[in-house]
Amino acid sequence: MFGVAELTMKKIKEPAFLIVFVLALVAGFLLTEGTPGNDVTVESSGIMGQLLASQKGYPILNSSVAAIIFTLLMALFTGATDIPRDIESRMIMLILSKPIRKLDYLLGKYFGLLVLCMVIFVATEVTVFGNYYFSVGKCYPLGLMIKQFYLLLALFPLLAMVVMISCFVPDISAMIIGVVYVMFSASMSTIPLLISMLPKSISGGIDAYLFVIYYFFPNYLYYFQTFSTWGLVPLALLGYTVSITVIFLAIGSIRLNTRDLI
Amino acid sequence: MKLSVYGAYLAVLVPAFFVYLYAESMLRQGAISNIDAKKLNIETVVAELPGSVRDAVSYRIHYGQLQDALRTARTDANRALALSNLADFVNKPEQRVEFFQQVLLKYPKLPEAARAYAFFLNRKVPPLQITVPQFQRYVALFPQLDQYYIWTIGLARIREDKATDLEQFNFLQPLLKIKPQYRDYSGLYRQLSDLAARLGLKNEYRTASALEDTCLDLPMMETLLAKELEKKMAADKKNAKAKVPAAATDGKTGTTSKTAQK
Repeated sequence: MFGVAELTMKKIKEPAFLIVFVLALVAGFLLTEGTPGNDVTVESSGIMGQLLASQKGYPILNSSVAAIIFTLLMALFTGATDIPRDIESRMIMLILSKPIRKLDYLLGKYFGLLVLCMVIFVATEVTVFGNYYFSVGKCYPLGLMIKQFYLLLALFPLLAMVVMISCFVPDISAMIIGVVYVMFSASMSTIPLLISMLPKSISGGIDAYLFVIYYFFPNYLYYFQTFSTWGLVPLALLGYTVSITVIFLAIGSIRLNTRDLI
Repeated sequence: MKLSVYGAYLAVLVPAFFVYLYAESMLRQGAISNIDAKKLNIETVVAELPGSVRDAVSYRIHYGQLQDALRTARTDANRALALSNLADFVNKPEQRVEFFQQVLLKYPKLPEAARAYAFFLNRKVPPLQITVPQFQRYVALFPQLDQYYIWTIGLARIREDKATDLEQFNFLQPLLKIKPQYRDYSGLYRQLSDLAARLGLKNEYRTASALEDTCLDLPMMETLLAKELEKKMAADKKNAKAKVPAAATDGKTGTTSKTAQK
């Protein structure tokens, strides 16, 4: 598994990765909050605004949102292409001729890509924190800095989802399906809030059906909401992340075990 | 794939699903409790909809809220009020008649049925008609605090039908036989004296003017209600303070007294 992960991580030298990496750093540098001319402002209108502008805990910085967007884009495109290309080029047969199980191959790919994407996010965050330190002369509060890294949790299910899709279809299709799935997830994420606001006489008949559909899509909105750095919500978020990731990877693994790789 | 491998996948997937559902419900509760109901409610969401659908959606939601209020109403008074609110809100005339009819048939002796009485007052179209004497008998059932509103909406109703001065005078005439208790009635007596003057009824004019003068020395209903509310709030506060030490004592000793439970 680690061998496959190491092989995947060699993508770090590819120009596409380096371009995304540099763009993420520049975005982080330009969007650093708290520096002169760039205050921390959290819009509190609308559903998203209400979730982000809660009074509990530290907020998610705009620069971190930019960092995670670059990271998720990277995950979407690399996750969708890696396994289909290995299958197409027969590289997978070469790898699986070694004493490696298909599950180990899948996990190796997953963790290799995960590290690649994490590098982008961590480097962007370091740029943001460094920029703030050199501009203002002090660091962000420790809790705020830790809070930004909770966003990384969103990467786990998203990458697992794309890797799972790539076990079923070729690379371009995986990319398209991945993007559509994420867009559906984003639109579905407001369903629980809307149902809670609707009168029971309206939501009573349809909420069960809506929730059935809703459960097929990860709710990425949860990763962006403001909550206390320590407590029940982060714990639930961790459980949520791990469970979805496991479900996606298990489905991907079943597919890889049953499909014809030749 | 072997059956045992499928079994292993199931052993992973089933607990993962449970964790997913449990963690999601916790996160959902967290997200919903974060929302500031004053800033974000169904009205603010509807306000962001395109104009072409906004009115229809808004009507449906408001209708649903009123139906919820009817369903959750526990007392007859609340049910009569909820039905009257629904009747006032609906835009189909036949539905309005149906709701007000229900109020009249089920709760004819409650002050909350006032709008239904006013609606059917002198109504020439079936299924129901409330005559002026019937309306006056209904008003006489209640204390003066409730009567004022009923007289007002009744008068407004007959004026809608362009009632003559004599009809208006006859409608308000029972007021000449009562001793007013609130300053608010002065307006009604002024109208009575004006009507009597126009109709050339000298005795009635003098009585109505005298009662109007009497009203000016009386307290406003609003002032009395505010005082009552203040008293009630103070009593509630006192009760709450008295309950806290009792509960604390019970907590310390580890027992729950019957008085505290009550």
